[in-house]
Amino acid sequence: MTRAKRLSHARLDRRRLLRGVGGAAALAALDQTGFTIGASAQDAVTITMWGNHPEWRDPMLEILAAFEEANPGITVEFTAIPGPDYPAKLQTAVAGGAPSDVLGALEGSILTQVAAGGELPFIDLTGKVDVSGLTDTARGQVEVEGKVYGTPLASYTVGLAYQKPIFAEHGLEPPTTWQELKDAAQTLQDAGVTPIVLGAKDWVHPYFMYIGLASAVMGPEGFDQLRAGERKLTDPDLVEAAQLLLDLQPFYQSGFQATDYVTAKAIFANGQGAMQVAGTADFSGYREVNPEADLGFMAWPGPEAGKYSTNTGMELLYTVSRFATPEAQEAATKLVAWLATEEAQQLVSDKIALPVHTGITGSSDPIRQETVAARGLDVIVWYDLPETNKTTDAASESQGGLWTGRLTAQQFAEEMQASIVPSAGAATPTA
Amino acid sequence: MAVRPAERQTTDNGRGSGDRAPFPPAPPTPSRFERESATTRSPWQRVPYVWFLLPALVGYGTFFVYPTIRAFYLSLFDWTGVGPIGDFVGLQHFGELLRSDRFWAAALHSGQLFLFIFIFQNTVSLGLALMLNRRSRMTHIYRAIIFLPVIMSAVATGIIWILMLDPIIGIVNPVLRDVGLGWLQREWQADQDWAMRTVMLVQAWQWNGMAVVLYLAGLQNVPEDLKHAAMIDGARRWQVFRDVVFPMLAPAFTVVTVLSFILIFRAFDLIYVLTGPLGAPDGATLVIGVLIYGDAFGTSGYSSQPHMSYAIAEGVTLFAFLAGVSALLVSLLGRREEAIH
Repeated sequence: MTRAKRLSHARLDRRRLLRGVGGAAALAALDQTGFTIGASAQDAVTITMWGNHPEWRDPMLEILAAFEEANPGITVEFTAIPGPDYPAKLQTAVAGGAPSDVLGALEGSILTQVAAGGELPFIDLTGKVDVSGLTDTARGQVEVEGKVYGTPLASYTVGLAYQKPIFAEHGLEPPTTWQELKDAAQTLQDAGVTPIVLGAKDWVHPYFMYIGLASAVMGPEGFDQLRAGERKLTDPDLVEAAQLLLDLQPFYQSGFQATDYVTAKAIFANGQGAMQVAGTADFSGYREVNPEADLGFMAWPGPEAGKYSTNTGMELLYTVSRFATPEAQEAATKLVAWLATEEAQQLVSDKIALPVHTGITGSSDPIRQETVAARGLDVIVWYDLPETNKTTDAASESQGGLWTGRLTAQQFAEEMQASIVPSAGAATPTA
Repeated sequence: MAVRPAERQTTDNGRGSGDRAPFPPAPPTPSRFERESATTRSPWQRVPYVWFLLPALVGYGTFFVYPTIRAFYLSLFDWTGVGPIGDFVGLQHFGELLRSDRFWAAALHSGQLFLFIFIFQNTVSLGLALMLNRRSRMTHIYRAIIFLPVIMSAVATGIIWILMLDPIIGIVNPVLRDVGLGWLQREWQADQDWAMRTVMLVQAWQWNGMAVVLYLAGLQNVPEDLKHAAMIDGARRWQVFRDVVFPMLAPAFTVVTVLSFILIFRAFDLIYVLTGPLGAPDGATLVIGVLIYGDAFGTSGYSSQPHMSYAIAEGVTLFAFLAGVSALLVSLLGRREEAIH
């Protein structure tokens, strides 16, 4: 019988179809139990992990290689997702029950999700992850109501990055007061240099500029008062911070309203502007764009001398997904526990960002040393805490109004204040 | 002068219309075997094509019908998109969105965008199709170049446009300056008056190729003898186009209009890349697709309470609007086609 004839005689009847479907279902069931033909129970475990800094991919792989070496049998599949896309991807994955095994929660989100109640997408790691060595701020993000849920990978500090050669060329020193900042910007503009590169298409730059300027007014104590409802962003001295954001508008680059965060970073890194709001994590990106860039870091100038400030926040808070298999949960717990150790945090400090472990004081990276040295009145990044978590949404929706004249500084401050939900007391440690 | 299309003198098989057989052939009578087997076979055997349709039907039901019904169900509850579904709120989200200024502003921008694209496709795209309908050695290359934006990645396209239009690192302003059109230089995407116009131009550029190809297919179905007959009757080129060619393009016009309507009101990717989640500057370019995304996932990315079920209500409203208006357009334009033919 020829092949063509055999094929023509091969009818797909219902019985044969059901037999095939049944076989496939049985194989699928076996797979669910973890039993695979030809494999032993001692199989290596592969766990998934997502990050939100593609520019950190290589150093992250080096850090994870150290973990894998110390934990034979565990393989970490690391995927770097662009920061702006990460929240939506994480939310969709959690809704679909398929996030990475080592779940990277956004800073502030463990506090808000535990407070909101309901089933959490991560598991309780109390007794399995030692957070006693972490800074108060870091611990405050992952230890809620006596339970430990994970550890922050790292921390970052936000202030102003500046081009050292441009400052030197025009005889400028990093400004320490608002007036000095305006004067420096004017000097640069008169010399044909764009003083500040701002990406106002996204919320990131205007938001961090505003909270930096407002934090310089309040300091950590004032911020705690704001959280407790004893201080308001509409207080006259705080409206001045919003007014300065607006007053600096002539010093931003042409087309800043439609410039996104990434493009703004590229413009600054290439030396087409003198200053930019920047956090520790941004410097890896600057170096990627322009390895020759000679950059410095300074705290936000304050309304008066000595009141300069920075904001410190957490990178992803690594927890363990409740959707992971028991084997993957066990392996992921080992990784999260390791990330909180001094050994892992030293690698973090040397390779990517600021450590969250109190035992680490130095870094092999000079810009990270400079960041820590520049810290002034350090206030936690506002959206890390439940009371001020919604300020990002308010800034997103109203910052555009400042540039187009739809909102005055006073109205902008009112919009920001409306997003704050004061608590009875500031129970969570701040920076 | 209205020139009527001449009546066809021949049938499709090339025979004259008077050459038909006097009686149509009688349908074949089923044999006894066929009659018996038809009664004994199962419904599945009697309609074997169902087996072929089944995979597509299952896919369609799973990935389109079920999610649509489920979306409407979810829009009736409070849900952030994560965790258990919250309280039943009925049609509250629909009421909220109908009272929302942002929703109506985004709807207005989408409407303006469609109007511009509609005019562009029926002038520029149609004109290009007419030019490409002429036989020339380079025609195929021109067609490929014009169609290229349709198949290019929207995200890549958006990034290229952002870089070209940037007032600092872009090439559009320097080129305008160098060719003596310096007065046209502007902050294309940051200028409140020009941001939406820029989006319109980029969208027109993206979808131009689709309209050109559809009109080109329509033009190639216009019989040459009709045009020649009209010209012999004394019609000028413009009259031939207006009274012979354009009416014959009615089916292509229907497809272009309905497709553009759906594509523009659903537009998201390219516009999101161009103007961001906030419709920069200050919501001047916010369209429905971007608004829904922002409400679902938060415009800041760090929002602790995204309005997923509210965004779903917006999606359901958009679906109902698109389905209703598309059906109306198909019906009206279909009647127009019948009237013409």
